[in-house]
Amino acid sequence: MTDRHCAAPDRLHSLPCYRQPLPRESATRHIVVMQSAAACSPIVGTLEQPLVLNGENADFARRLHQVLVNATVGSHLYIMGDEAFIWRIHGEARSAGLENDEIDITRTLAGSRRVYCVHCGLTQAAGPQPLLNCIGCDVGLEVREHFSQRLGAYLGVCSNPDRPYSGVRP
Amino acid sequence: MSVALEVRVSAARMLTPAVREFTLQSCTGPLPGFSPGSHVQVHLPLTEGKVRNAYSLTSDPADNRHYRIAVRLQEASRGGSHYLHRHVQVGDTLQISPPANLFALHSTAGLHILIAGGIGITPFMAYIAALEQSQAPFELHYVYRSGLSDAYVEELQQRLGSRLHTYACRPDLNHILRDRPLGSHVYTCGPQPLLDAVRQQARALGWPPGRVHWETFSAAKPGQPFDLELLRSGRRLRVGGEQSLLEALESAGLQIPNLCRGGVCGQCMTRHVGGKIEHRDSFLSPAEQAEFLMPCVSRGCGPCVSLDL
Repeated sequence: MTDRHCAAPDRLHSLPCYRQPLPRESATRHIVVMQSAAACSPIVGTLEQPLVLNGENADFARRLHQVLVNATVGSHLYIMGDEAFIWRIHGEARSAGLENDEIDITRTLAGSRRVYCVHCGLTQAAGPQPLLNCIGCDVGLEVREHFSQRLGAYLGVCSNPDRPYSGVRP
Repeated sequence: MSVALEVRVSAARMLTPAVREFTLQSCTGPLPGFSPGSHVQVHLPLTEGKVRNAYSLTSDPADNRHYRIAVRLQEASRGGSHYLHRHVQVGDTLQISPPANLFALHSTAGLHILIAGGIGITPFMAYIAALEQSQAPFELHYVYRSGLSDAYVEELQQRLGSRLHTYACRPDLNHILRDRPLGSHVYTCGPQPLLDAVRQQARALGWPPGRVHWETFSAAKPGQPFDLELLRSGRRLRVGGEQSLLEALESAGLQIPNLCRGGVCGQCMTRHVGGKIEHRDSFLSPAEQAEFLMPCVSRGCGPCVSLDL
């Protein structure tokens, strides 16, 4: 779930909050989307007749689209994987009409995250390090503790405005 | 507190034997814009004191030349609707509070399902105008008593065609709410039992609360007279049986923020420090009611109530 459900007062509200999902007893259909078999959370075993999609399968993208298009109100989505995967699926689910409180996100893999460059507007995959060079405009970026749910990405801002293209050493 | 607007009744007509529609034009400048689902409070000078009743705006929100409201005659009420039906004439001026919205459309919904009971059609008239203009998918389920509470039904039949579903008694809500696409939102306005049934059915089908929107139109109901003590000013007031606690405070010159005057919006929440309270709101939790009350609907039921005012 997102940060407004996060009780810890020391966390920034601009950061996503991941946690183990709770079984949604009110939901009439459980849809599990996992990045790989390794990303599976034990919660899946407790759900009643879940529909499980695995990102490793060949027709994953087509099946996911089909499931979301045909889903009805009462469905609950559980996304498991790394940050980049979670927010890509989250974005698809939101555009298909799911609301935030119908989606549980669990980060079960360390993996990659996405960074949005505020200078050229490119969203790119990145590791956990705080500094990187934008692959679009080559500006040395500092990754801020600010996350956009709409973009599914952290904000990347020029780390040295005096020498924006000097490159950063992660 | 916003300043009241002065409006003139430019037209009035009976939509059914029990529902009268008023068209209101500004006496001063242009009318403030409003969003679909908004209501205004109409100030009514009854013999027992000033009463303010909330009515949904039924006119097209894109048209700022006038407002329209439709008023159902409530025989067993304190007289506000009776006054509007029997005493207000075309050409009269009325005081109204500027529009406020406690029942807004969910702008990103992919399908809007509207369920109206009787005079609960009123906010949906503004919804329909806005939804038609934005070409958003919607459908209207309208329950009414033919020849009594069927306001606008002929107009709606012509405008909406197959998007209008009419019922003489409670519709099959399971049928209406089952297997709806993900972007659906449901809105309901009407008598409390209809609202309760819609919310219960939605919950049973796994609809999260954020997809279910509802508005009651309950106004303050009369009760026993009681005395009131205002601790900060040391004043004592008497609340009449036909008067709400909020109206008594306003008559005494106190400005209490308020929007709905029906115990739902939470604006008029006031701390009580003594006396027995009969809570009639649907805003406060039982734990909160131990400390606060909503003076728009709730009353004292003992000899004297003390308020932190």
